[in-house]
Amino acid sequence: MAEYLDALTYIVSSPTNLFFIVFSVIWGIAFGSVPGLTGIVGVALLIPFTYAFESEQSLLLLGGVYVGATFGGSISAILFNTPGSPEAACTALDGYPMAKRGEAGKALGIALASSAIGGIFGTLVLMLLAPPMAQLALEFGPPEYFALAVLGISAIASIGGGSVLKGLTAGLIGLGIATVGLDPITGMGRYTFGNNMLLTGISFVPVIIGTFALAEVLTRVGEGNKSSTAITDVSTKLPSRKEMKDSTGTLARSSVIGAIIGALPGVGATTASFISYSEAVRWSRHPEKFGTGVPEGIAAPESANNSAVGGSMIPLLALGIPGSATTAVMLGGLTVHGIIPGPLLMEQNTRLVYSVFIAMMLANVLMLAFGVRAARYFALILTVPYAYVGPAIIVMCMTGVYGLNGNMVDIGVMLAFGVVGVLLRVMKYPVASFIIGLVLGPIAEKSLRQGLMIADHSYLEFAARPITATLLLLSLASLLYGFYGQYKLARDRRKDGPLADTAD
Amino acid sequence: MSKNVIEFSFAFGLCAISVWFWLIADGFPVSPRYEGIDTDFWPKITFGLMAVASGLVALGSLRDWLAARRAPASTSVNPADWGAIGRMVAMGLLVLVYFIAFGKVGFLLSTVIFLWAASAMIPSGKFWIKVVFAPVFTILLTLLFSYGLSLPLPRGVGPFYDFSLLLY
Repeated sequence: MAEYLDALTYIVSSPTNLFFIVFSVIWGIAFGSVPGLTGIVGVALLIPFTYAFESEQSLLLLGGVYVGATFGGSISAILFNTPGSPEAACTALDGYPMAKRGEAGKALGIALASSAIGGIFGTLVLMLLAPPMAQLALEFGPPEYFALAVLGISAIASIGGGSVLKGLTAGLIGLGIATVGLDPITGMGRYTFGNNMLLTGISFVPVIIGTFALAEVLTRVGEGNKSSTAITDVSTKLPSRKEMKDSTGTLARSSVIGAIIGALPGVGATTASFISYSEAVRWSRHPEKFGTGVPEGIAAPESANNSAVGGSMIPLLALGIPGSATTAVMLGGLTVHGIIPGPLLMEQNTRLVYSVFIAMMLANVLMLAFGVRAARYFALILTVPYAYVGPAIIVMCMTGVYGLNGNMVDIGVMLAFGVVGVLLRVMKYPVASFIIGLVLGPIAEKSLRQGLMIADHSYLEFAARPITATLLLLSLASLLYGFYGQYKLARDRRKDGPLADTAD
Repeated sequence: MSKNVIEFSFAFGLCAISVWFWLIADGFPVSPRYEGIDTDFWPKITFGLMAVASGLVALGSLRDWLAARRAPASTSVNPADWGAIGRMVAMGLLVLVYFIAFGKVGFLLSTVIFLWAASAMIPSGKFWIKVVFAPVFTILLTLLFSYGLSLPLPRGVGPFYDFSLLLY
């Protein structure tokens, strides 16, 4: 308790510290909301400036950016179907359909409230349970990682509300695309067709920007005059107490999933948001409505990815292992100040550690205030005719993707996946399943093969570990439940008669 | 051409690609050290399952197509919207030209021309705003990326490179 009081006094006593937290949240929201920039770029750009500050202040700054950026990605995802950051890709699946229905303000409000709740939960877990959570994370070996990935992948059968086979095919396309590049175990090149640029695999950011943003612009251009009318109702409103109560289960489940997955090194917020989305579909009474603009479809990924922010700080601070790409960049920022994260840091540099805890908590609360305002300004863009917004989105995407690595191949990948996105939509293959396959494929493959090596190629030994067995059984139940849901839907349609089919 | 035919062709195409990729995986070099979990292990599982799933989708579409052919003409016709496809293809080609120009001509010129052309293709908004919007937006973006964030922007090649160097 004394450590918390010391850290709180340190933060509150200096206006500079408070200014840093406010600035970092705004900076983070701005970076998160611009496609291609992402929170990693936001953190990386600030690192050189932190030389001039105390180590505590540097970490306040970087932590605040991380919190703000994770929410910021959802703004463009909801308003333009253009995820500003990879972790917000999942939010677009239900956020954008809701915005298209004229409920952009409501969607942004749900995203904001869920982000704050998830973020506060993740920070509380970080404050109270960092050492045991770090220990739990160490219990996860390749078999557990594989089972976790399978649990996420298994939900593809329930997503989309259409054909299970199309959902599975879309998921498998994602898994297949994830195999391009160097084999993670043997180091052999796969499906590169002689192009050395493909050896590093297909980058995730150009893929999601192409699949969501470019495909959306092309589709809307295809719709012609039907889509050219601007949306005028753009007021951002936080959900009511009743609406929040309806989503309590989703928020609680997703926040827990986010904190646990965030604490696993190398997994991160993107995986957390997709697995939470899968779980929300699995637990929903109306899984077929996901993807059409349901509040749970926004609440689940947003609470999970923000909770994962706190979770990913656990291995960074307690073990010195970055839990995500952004915390890896933050690790660089810490070492600049001569700080070596690890168990000793938690004991010897308490002010630094506890200042970060408190700053992240404050950042999440501040995010509510700034998020409403930022979302309101962004939402005003919806009132602008699409003749300006559509081409501008393409330019922003091209520039953002080019800015990632400064190469044209990434833009080529984005364009190719724009076409893939259009084809998937037109042919009614769920994009959510495709992205889930793409995100979880590499984790599933690598951990399965590593696990089999460790288990001496014995599948029985591989699956006999308690956490693995539980997660695999849940996956099997999910798959069966997905098929049962489809069977029930088909049976209900038959009962309703041919009129229902015609209406469909 | 009905939607069922297009759906069948797409699913059949996916099935064919899956089989082709499975065969490519079958040709990956193997090593006794990684027996059972070699380079081809995961791609074969993925593309094998994809071939089966997409094959089943193709069969379903074929069945629907045949059923639709037997039904009366008023209910079986389900034409594709060629107007929408045409507009999408036209915008797609414009984006492709922009992509090529982005690298060869550089960010500034290619973006201004792309914005003029693309906004002209979409039937909304005022003409004079479209004319002004393109250069203003491009300049603002250049200032943000090049000066504000020090992130790279393509400068083009040859004389375009020299021209871009003068500005950013």
